[in-house]
Amino acid sequence: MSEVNETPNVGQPDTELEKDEQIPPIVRFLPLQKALDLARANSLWPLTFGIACCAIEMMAASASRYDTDRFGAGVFRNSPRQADLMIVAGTVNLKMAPIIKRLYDQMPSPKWVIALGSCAICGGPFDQEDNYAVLQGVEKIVPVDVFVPGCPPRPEALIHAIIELQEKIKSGQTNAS
Amino acid sequence: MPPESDVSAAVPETPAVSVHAELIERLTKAGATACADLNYAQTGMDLDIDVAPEKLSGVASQLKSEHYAFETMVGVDRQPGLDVLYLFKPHAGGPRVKLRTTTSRETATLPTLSSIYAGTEWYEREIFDMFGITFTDHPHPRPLLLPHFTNFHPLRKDFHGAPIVIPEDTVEIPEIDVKEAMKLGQSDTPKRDFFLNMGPQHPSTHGVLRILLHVEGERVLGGRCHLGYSHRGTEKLAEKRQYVQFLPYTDRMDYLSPVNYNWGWAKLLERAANVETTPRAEVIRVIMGELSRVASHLVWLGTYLLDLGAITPFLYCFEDREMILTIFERVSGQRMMTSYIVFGGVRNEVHSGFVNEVRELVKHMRKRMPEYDTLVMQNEIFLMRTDKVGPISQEQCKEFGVSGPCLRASGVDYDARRDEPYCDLYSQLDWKVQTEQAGDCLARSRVRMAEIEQSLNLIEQALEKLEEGPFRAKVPKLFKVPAGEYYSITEGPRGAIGWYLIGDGSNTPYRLKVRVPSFANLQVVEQLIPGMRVADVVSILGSLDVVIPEIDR
Amino acid sequence: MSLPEILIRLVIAFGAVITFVTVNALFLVWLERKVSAVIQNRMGPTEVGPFGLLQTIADALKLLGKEMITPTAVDRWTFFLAPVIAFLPAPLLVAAIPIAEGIGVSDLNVGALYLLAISNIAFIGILMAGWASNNKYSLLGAVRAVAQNVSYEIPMLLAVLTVILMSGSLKLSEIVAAQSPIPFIVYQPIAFVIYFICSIAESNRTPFDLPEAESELVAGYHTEFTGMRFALFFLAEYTQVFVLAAIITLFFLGGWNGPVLPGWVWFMLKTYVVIFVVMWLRWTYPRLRSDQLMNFNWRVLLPVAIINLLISTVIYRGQF
Repeated sequence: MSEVNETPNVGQPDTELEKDEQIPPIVRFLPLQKALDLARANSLWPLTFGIACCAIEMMAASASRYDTDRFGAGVFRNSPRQADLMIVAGTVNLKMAPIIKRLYDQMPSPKWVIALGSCAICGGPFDQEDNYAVLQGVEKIVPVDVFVPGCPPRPEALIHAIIELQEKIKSGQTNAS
Repeated sequence: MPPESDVSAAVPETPAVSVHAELIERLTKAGATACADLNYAQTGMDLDIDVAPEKLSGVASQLKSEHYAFETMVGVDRQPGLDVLYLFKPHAGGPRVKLRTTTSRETATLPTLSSIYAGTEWYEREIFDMFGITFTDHPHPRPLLLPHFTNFHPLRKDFHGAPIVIPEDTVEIPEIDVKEAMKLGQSDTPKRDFFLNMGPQHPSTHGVLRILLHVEGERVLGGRCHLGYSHRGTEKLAEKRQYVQFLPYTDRMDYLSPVNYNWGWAKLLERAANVETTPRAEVIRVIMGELSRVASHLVWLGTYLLDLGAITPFLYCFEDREMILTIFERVSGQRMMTSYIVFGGVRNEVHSGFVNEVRELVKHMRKRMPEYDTLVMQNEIFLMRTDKVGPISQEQCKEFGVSGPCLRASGVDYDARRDEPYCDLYSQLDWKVQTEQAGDCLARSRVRMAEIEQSLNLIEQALEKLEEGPFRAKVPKLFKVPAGEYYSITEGPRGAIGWYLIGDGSNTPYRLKVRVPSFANLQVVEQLIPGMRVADVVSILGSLDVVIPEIDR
Repeated sequence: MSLPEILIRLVIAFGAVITFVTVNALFLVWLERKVSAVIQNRMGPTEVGPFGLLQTIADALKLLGKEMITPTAVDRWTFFLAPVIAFLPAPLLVAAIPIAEGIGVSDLNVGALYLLAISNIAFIGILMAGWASNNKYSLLGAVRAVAQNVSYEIPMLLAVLTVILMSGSLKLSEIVAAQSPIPFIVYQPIAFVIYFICSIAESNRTPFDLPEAESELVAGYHTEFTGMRFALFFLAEYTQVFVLAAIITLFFLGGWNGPVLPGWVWFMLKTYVVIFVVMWLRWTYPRLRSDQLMNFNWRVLLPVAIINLLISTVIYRGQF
């Protein structure tokens, strides 16, 4: 059977080169935290990162008919250093997995992940015991905040996911520091 | 049970004298062992040639001198031997040829054909990945689709899964000198060149492609594509799926034109089982197929302009595409992965407003096309970025098996809708195959824009021909494909999609190979980019219109 | 002036400049998103505040709260200083622009020279950013930016020279005064076009945004900058857009001249119309390749600018 890494090591740098300095919050007090959470929720910048079919629905969600920019999440940044939200859209296979992990590590915290589509949740239609190439779910390598089922999910489903994530951030429930 | 070799199951034309006798004579002189005629209507091939591995390059050279274009290679595990089939097609009419050669499991070695047909390079690497056959004298013997640490060969029949181990490292070739491994060009000013990775995470939204560029300043000296970041093992899982269960996977290979892939799968099965569809289904298929072509070309246009830096056409194209997707959703229940065209016809009847909605859409698109022409095709900067950039010659088309708009832009008049007739309706409608001569990015763009116009014409005419009748022929629910080898080609928006099926009489395929057009089209890019600038690489990639998950399958 | 007076003036000026720079950048980012939305048939930010006006404040707060990653292999001091130097010219330039007759932080008697000289400093910040990041994409982007900025300075200077020639003074208020009643765009349309194109190239916007070429170089020279450092680059770019539009207004469109409305209203109106046109261009055109960009500058803009200057000296000699 598959040997799967059950407890993903999140935030562990790969090599010496990746060991970035991380500045912990010096002061933590509630009104500032709430204001920051509100700002972060309303200004989610996704990383342009589409792997397969769901990427097209992600692009359709940012297009004119559905328009994620209304919620502040329309500025797609190309560099992981400037993005907060990684939308994993498509099937993750073993060759791609370390790259996703590296991209996630390169993003500055606070950061969030949306697993878009069945493939990112559990392998989707490629979810079989003898599939030698596909990682059965991106949660095995990065912590996911919102799961969006569908194959592919409609653009409204992605917008719903973004709104859910915004609610989650505002209530302070996410894994982000 | 592995099926018998196809030579005995072939249907001979007439006893003794073959229609292609002269060709057979020339090939036998070049080294072929046995030749047999095949029934084109059922198997998709005209000639079946057996060749011993030593004589392979002789026969291939003969075919090259007769202007045969290479199409695809299929590896088969015959238990105990391993076969490799080479499919060739002539652009200018003539019989389709299938070469077959065998090697044993223990030795698993064959000579490479990449010095004769450069396009076999990637196919041989894929067959090495999947079957473990080594090709001697191969210029770049590296894995194509599987990670470099893989130690199994998935498509062999004795492979039944492996434990999933998430690798630590992303670097594909750890300690080998990159220049040596890449065998890229030498720069005139050594030490001023460097390697630039256009990595899997790329804003150019074609999917996860990694190109390693050898660059000197702005000039590219060479490049190598690294694939496999989207490999999902589709061909292996096809062997465990019943024919009707495999249908959703065809949608997800090329997700921008899923209708054409469904059609290809349905046509393959209909050819194999000798089943005719109903007239109404043919018309609906043509309408849906052409709508899918328009939708795919719109995505191409939007993303190509996005790559070039103009963001707005992307939004306009997607808005137009949304209208098409709305129609798809009303017809089949799904926006993209329709799974609508099935074996025998279409899955369900179209909804009552279908004809009116499609007419409205065609009217709307006809108003839009002049807008796109003014905004995009006549834009000075667009012309500067695409004119004379990345020309593909007709020779390269033959060597690599380029198809689709890329082929037609180089002046070759070949379109599977007309030349490999898989749907009679196309011959009854009034349309033209669009070609250009220059073969550069601008020519390819023009061909695609012209194809949208032609598709709109086809849709309009097909709507007139829509008559009452059943939408699906009577077919058994779980049917079995009779034993034999079948090949079917349909014209997708990216090129000719080839389906090679080996059935063994059961209800699952013995071997399914999908010949995807983007595979051949992308392979040419390694020959196009030396001498270009980095910005041109992006322009060339965009103009080829490749979808990586279909390449990786 | 006594020391306390000088200090008070300094503090007020400083406050005014920084406030203006910040508010302007916030407004321009919102405007960019809305303009792009209208052109692209979308809505743009609508949820955060009325008409999405608070969207940029949310963006800014978020960037403030972001972790500032310093990759281990960077050139530390250059990495820290790059955004600062890229941003530095912005408030310096805003301080030298008078927005109406007598209103403004300062009105230097070599105002035009000061503006042109200081606006050249920003690209040093870009070069430092590209170099310090220790990243090939950043370096490529920075190299392209330097080539572009340095090359496009020359036709820009030649175009401005014609205006200075005609007004006979480097002082900005005198240049505007020389434009009543007819703005210089009527006399110098070619210089206006040249300056407009060069200013788009200077601020690295499409069709000249090769340094940040998003589809090729990931994010160009600011690939490795996170959080507040990235925000500084953003601030710098939008302030530069404002400054260049203000210079166009001052030199070619008559500054604060105009009937009925007060001077500063005219000035702001004209400047923001120019900014709108610049944004409109961004969302319409694809980008030029690097060699096409350079060819365009050296083979088209520069000869035209020189010929324009020569003809202007002949025609307008001694008329103003």
